[in-house]
Amino acid sequence: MQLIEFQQVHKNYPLGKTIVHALQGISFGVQEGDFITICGPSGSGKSTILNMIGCIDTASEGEVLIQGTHTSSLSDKQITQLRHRTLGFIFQNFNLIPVLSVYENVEFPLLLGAGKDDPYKAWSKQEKQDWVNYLIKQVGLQEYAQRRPTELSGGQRQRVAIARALATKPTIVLADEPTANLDTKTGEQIIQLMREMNQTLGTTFVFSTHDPQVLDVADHVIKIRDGMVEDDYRPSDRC
Amino acid sequence: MLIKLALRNLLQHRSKSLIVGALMAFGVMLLVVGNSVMHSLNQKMQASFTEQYSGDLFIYTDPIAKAQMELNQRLTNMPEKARQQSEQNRPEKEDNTSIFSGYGSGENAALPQLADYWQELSELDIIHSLSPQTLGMTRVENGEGAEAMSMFWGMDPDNWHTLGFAEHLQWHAGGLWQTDQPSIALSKDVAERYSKSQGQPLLIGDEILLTVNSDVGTTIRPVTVAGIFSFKTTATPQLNMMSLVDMATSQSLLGLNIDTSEASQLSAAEQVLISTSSEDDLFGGSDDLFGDVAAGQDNATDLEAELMASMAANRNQTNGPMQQYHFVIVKLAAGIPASEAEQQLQQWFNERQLIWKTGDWEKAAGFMAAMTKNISMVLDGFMVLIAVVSIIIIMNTLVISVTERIVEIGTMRALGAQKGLVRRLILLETLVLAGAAGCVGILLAIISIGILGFVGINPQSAFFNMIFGGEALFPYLSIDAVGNALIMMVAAALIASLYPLAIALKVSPVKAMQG
Repeated sequence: MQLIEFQQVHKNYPLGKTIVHALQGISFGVQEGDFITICGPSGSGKSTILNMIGCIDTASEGEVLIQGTHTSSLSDKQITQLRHRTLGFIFQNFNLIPVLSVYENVEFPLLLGAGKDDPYKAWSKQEKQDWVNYLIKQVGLQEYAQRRPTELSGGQRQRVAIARALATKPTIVLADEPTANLDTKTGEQIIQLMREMNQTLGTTFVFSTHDPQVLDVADHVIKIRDGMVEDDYRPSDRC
Repeated sequence: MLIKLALRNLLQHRSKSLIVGALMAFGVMLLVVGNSVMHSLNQKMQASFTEQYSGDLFIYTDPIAKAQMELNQRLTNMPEKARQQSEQNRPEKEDNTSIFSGYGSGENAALPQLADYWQELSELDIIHSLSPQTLGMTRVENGEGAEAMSMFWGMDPDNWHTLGFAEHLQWHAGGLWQTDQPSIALSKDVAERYSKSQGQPLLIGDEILLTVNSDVGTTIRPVTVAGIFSFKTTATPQLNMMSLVDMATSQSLLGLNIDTSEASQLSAAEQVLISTSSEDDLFGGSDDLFGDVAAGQDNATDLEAELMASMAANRNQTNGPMQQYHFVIVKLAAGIPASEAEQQLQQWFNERQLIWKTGDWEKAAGFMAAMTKNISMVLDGFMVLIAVVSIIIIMNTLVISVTERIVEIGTMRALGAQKGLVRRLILLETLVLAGAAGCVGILLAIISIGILGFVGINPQSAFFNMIFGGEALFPYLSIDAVGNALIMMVAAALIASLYPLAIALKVSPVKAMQG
């Protein structure tokens, strides 16, 4: 079973009096533990695909399956639960909560659980602390744990975002152009960090980019153009 | 975490929090100060009435029940068709009774069957003392042109001493009468007007005439001036022209002394005139219109006695001649709340099928209490207006705050926050702000009330002096007002947060992606 599966997915949305066909029958699959790049020019549909994997947008036609579950059949509450337990997000603009410290931002997803079956409730306070501190250390920010996001550089903020995305030990981390607002060097460091986390924790990373240099580190590349899959390959297969 | 987040968000958006908080605090302060002033005013008015004029309750004839009963009696003798028509045109009767208005003259105006139940009523555990009274309007004159109008209560000085009312009278001359002689204690205002009209001061011991024009005709009675007084506080304008008349005279003036006979009290000159005159001298002697008066006098006396006995029998009177009163002032036994006593008494009346009714001091006060209630309602309306404006401003500010945080809320939703968490967060922020602003508002109100209580509110107006029961009102903090203001503020804050909350709950996680 594939971790993520797109089956003839279409996405249409109205723009004024015209209908924009953002995705036109896309199909692909993602294996667990992969480090996947979805690349293509601006407006090609990369973000739309990420939104659908993240269950924050729905397909007009076709099916999106996460761990074999048809996401279209889930209620809002179930989708929120799926996002909380299975998915982690890294945003282009970092989207850290400004009033919380680095530590609190990373801890935040662990406090969002609702319901008796929330797996994070079973964790002791110490376990949570250790895990959050471990993640902060992994992203190299142990000295900045009590700082607010406004006191950090762009690269540091994105590191916090990576740690936060991994807090709930998700199966998939989605990153929407995570290096777009960073300089080249910092961008490379961030990609490198994500790759390390992918290899250390076995978490599947799916990220969108239009930077061709990033393709070199990916296990799996899906090229998108005009809402269609232009190419879908594993670089290792072409070597 | 939510509390931490809410507090930090409020601090983060300091300027907005300050604007909304200041508005809320100002609203709470206005509410607490306004309601405390009204509460103090009401308490002062209540004290004025219950301690000086109205007692805890008063008992009067229920005008609606009485009208109903009279109509039913008339209807029973009517043909069917006329009865149906009368039923349809049944007049609406209002109960405007107070200790200043709502009665009349003659037997019909009196509290019915009072003599029958007097003993039983006065022995009730909840009753401390009772004072039956009458109310009338009289012309005070000397027969030589000097005159002034006065309202009067017919009362018994002993009862007023027992009720404690007598202690609050301020005497400018004389005092309450201590004899059975027809007497009046004149209101200072009435005495001044009378003295001005007379051209010389009215003196204690002067004899004046009281003239009452009523449904039963014109009645004139001479009375002796026993005292000139004013009430300690005059919480309603009628009290400035309220005099006190001995009970027998007041009943006689108002036609409330049926079934009793009273001797004519004539001056020496009048007695000499009558003793030296005969009917023939007065009306001419050619036609013997009245016959032999002397011969018929015994027959007339017998006839009067027979008529009195017959009237008493017709009324099933068991306690001798009826003493008729308009209303009864009730002082309750210590610790009995007026509202409970009112219910108990009403039940007692109902069980005995009496068309009596009880009223508290506000009912007794009549238009004055109604006016303060109206002022209170206007104030409430003003407060509601402030609340509505505050709600709109708070709502707008919260909407801006939520709109600015759409990405943050979207991020929370993307990270797995259920809608309930977003709802709790926004509500918590609003309540924390309302609570903090409420505390500041109460603090400001305590300071304001403290200052007002120290210097007093003195608008130097006769109207305000009257409703203040003195020259100035010294308000104090009402705990009820504080509680009500806090409840209202929290309610206003919650209402104001509904729309921003709806916006926040509609925020999609996709907003986080869009940055």
